[in-house]
Amino acid sequence: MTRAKYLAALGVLAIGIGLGRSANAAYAKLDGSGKEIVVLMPSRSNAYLAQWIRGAEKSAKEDNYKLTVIENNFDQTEQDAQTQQRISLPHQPAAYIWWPADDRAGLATLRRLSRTGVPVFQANQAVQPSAKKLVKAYAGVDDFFNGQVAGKNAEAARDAYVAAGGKLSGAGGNIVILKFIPGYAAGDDRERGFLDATKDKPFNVIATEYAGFDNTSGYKAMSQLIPRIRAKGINFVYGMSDGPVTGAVQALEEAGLKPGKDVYLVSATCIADISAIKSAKEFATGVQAAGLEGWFAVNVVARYFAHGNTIVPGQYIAPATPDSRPDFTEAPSQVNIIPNPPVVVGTDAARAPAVLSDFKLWGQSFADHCVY
Amino acid sequence: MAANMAEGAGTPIVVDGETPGVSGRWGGWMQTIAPIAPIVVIFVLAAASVPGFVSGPNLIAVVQASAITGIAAIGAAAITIVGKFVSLAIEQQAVTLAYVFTAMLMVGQSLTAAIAVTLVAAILLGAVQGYLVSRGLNPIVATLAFGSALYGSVVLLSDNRTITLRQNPVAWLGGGTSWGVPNQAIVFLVLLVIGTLFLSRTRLGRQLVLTGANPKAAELIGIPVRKLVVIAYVLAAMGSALVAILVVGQVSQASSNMFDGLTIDVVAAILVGGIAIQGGEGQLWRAGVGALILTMLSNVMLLLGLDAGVRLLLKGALAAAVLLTMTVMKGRGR
Amino acid sequence: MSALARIDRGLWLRIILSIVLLVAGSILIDGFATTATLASITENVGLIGLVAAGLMLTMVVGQLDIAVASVAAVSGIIALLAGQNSLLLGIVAALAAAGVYGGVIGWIIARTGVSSLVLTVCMLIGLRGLALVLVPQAPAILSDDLFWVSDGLVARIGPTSLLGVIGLVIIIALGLAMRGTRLGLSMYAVGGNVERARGSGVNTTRVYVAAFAGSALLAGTAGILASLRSGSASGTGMDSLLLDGVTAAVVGGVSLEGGRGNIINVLLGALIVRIIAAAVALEGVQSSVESIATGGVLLAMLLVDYALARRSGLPFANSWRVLAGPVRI
Repeated sequence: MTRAKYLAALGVLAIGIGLGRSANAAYAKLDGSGKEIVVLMPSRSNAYLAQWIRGAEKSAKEDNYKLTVIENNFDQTEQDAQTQQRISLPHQPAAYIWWPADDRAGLATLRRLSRTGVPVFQANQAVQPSAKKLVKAYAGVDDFFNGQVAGKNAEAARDAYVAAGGKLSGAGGNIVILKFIPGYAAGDDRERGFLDATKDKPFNVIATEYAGFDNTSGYKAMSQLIPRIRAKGINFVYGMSDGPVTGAVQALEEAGLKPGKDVYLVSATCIADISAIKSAKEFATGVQAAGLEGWFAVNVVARYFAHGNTIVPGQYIAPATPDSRPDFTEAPSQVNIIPNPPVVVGTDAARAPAVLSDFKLWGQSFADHCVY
Repeated sequence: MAANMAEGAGTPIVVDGETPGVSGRWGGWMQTIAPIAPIVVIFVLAAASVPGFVSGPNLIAVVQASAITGIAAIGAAAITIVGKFVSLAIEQQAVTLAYVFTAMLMVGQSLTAAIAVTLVAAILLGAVQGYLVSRGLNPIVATLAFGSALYGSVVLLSDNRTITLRQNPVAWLGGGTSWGVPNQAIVFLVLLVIGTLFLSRTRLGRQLVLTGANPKAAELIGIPVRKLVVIAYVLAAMGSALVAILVVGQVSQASSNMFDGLTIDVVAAILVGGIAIQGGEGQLWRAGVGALILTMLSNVMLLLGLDAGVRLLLKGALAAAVLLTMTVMKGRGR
Repeated sequence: MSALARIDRGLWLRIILSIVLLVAGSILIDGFATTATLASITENVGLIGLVAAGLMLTMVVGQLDIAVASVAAVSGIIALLAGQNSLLLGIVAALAAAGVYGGVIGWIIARTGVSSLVLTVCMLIGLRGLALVLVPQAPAILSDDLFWVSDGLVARIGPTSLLGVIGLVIIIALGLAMRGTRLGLSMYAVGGNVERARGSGVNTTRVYVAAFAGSALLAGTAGILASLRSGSASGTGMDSLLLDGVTAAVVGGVSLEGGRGNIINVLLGALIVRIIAAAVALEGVQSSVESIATGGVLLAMLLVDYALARRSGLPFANSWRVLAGPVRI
């Protein structure tokens, strides 16, 4: 039985290598011959977006496209003005990549963008139901899916917590949810995904608070929350990304609660700071790589052209292959999602660095994906 | 200690922050009380209605949460006191200094060297703004422009990257506690005392107050007004440097949006604390009290589960209410 | 005499700077010298110009209304929310709200002598909160059957768009009113010397109320137009209007000391700001470059005005006054 498995694995590997070869031939076809792709997105003064752009630039270079990034300062009005200016120019690009500052508020501009006849691809922010006809395809993260990853992380944390002799304070364990900012759709999606993944054995949510995107704001929110809810017993914290989780770790420690012992913290995605997961103060996270997302978005556009402007209906989740980047040769789907493989380090600080250094996604390490 | 040096423009001159120059005893007392009244009101209301508010840990959390804004506000209050309102580049300045500090540590400099370079950078940033303003450029617009250019440069130079420290030599300061009280909060309180003593007990401090009260009269009696304006901006930049070092100590990294909203918080703290915006009143503790009031307010609203929008709305309303009360009372006192 | 010469020199300087930027952009940037880019620039000059003109009103009377971006955001939201059934009703409601708000602020400032800058900082915070209270989750969206309004606003008219025409017409009408009506002239008088103005029988309360109501109306108009163009209004939007507006007004040479400022210069200021923004967007360079360029131009113009004022021997005046609030009534 084990031998059969082994052989099967070898077979898969062989096919993989074979595919890789033939894919290389197809890969050469992804040649934009210097055509322009215009990206309309918020400013790279945010580290995640800066890394996204680096990935997109790399992808554009591989496939011979010229990439122009037009940035707004997280302001939909500004983005609308910039878009209006770009679409009224006589020379239009081969494609637009649309990353709205505010997904819902940007609808009118998206409509104008699609009216130019130039194919529009949306990135990072899920396509609104009413905008399905306006964009060719979506490429990027799926926040509902990310929320589900976090839900599974939390379930793993609960099992470990109980196994280590921890007592759940409420039915299913008391959990604090740290959301992004008010009105930020990705936060709502990550909350829904989380609740969906844990619906069979739900946690007892004792507080949901906006905690921003970074350490500082996560710390602020958590440190003010602790005195109010401490008496109820805090078993778990679900932060939507590692930023607020790292801040929450700090706040818990100051309040005398030991992360990884008294409280287990999980998040949906890594972002820039890996100190909490590296020291096993954070139980588990997911690897949503900004650079990979940017790379993938341009790759989807390139494949669309290489396949004679074809889009396959349906959703496609890119595989989380460890050792090398999969060769994408197919025509892109309507919805193209990047992987977000969970990384569970547990609670043993001595073992955590080894877990992280063993981790590989598309041939790159945890640090390659998560530090920028 | 009160020294009414000049009667120019009918502006009350208060030197040691206790005795108002022109307004009567009653008005002066009311003015001192004004910023404390909201604290008492909020405190009582919160204690009565919010479970868990009056607990040691929660109160420490409030002081702790107001420390960063408070420290930045104490520094910025020097600008207010000298009569130039406030620098609108505080946020950008703090981000810059956080990058300078982490970058120095990253290239392997010692902690002492990193702190020294950060302080020198702070002095430079403050001196440039102070120089521009002291020549007569409008403080609001000049610092707004300076902050915009500075932020752009830092983001560009850092290649939009977050710098994360592997070893954090200031973690004990930014994140640690002594006797159960967070060190940040201790720094905040110590600075409050030092600042108050500096203004009332040193010659430089008194000159700052006089300049704010009446620049023309100050110039007449030989106070180097322009130099003092530069010094006020340098002090504000030093406050930002301290904030930068503390926060880097706490989160072990520098990123471009780590201080989002700090400028508005600082301005709000100064306003709610009731520091006279036209300058010339040396009550530095008010900046700290302002930060405390605002944090307590948002703490209560947080505990009550109010939305972010309602919190901002009430924050603005409170600041306006304190401001108008102060203004009207000052008018009566005259 | 020398004052006139100085104003003229300032005007020429701005015209020359605009031309230099336009020429440099045309040579250096592909696609800059097109009517499309020109139309985009003028459309946004109309929009930013409205905010800057409002700022000019308060600056001319020696005050500063720093809440304009929040006022714009709230107005846009009210227009779309109240305009679900009748857009006209929504626009009227939003303008009425802005006007009343501005009038009350002006009245408070005149009556209490509170520093306008500080009071409007409070309003900046509070109104941003109000915007988030009005649309806490999803932004207000223009209904589908009204989208022709949004498209109509960006329809090209000569070297600009309908939105640009509306903005420019309002701004120019305001400029004429400032120079041609008694109220307009008394604004300059109050800004120049409030005591003397009062002595000559000017009702200063009326002047402050008019200035702040005008500022809020203009910012509100900009917010409504921008929201209609976007087809939406969100609680966190329009923050960039403040820096753009202040930059346009100050690059346009409006003095923060009061009593000085004219609409032509403000339009040139808005033009300079938008040329930079258009160039940055076309070239696809990162937005931090725009921050540096805008901040740099703003500082440079402050310094040039300072140097010009010194050379012509006029007092540049120290800027203490802006902070002190108006003299009490």
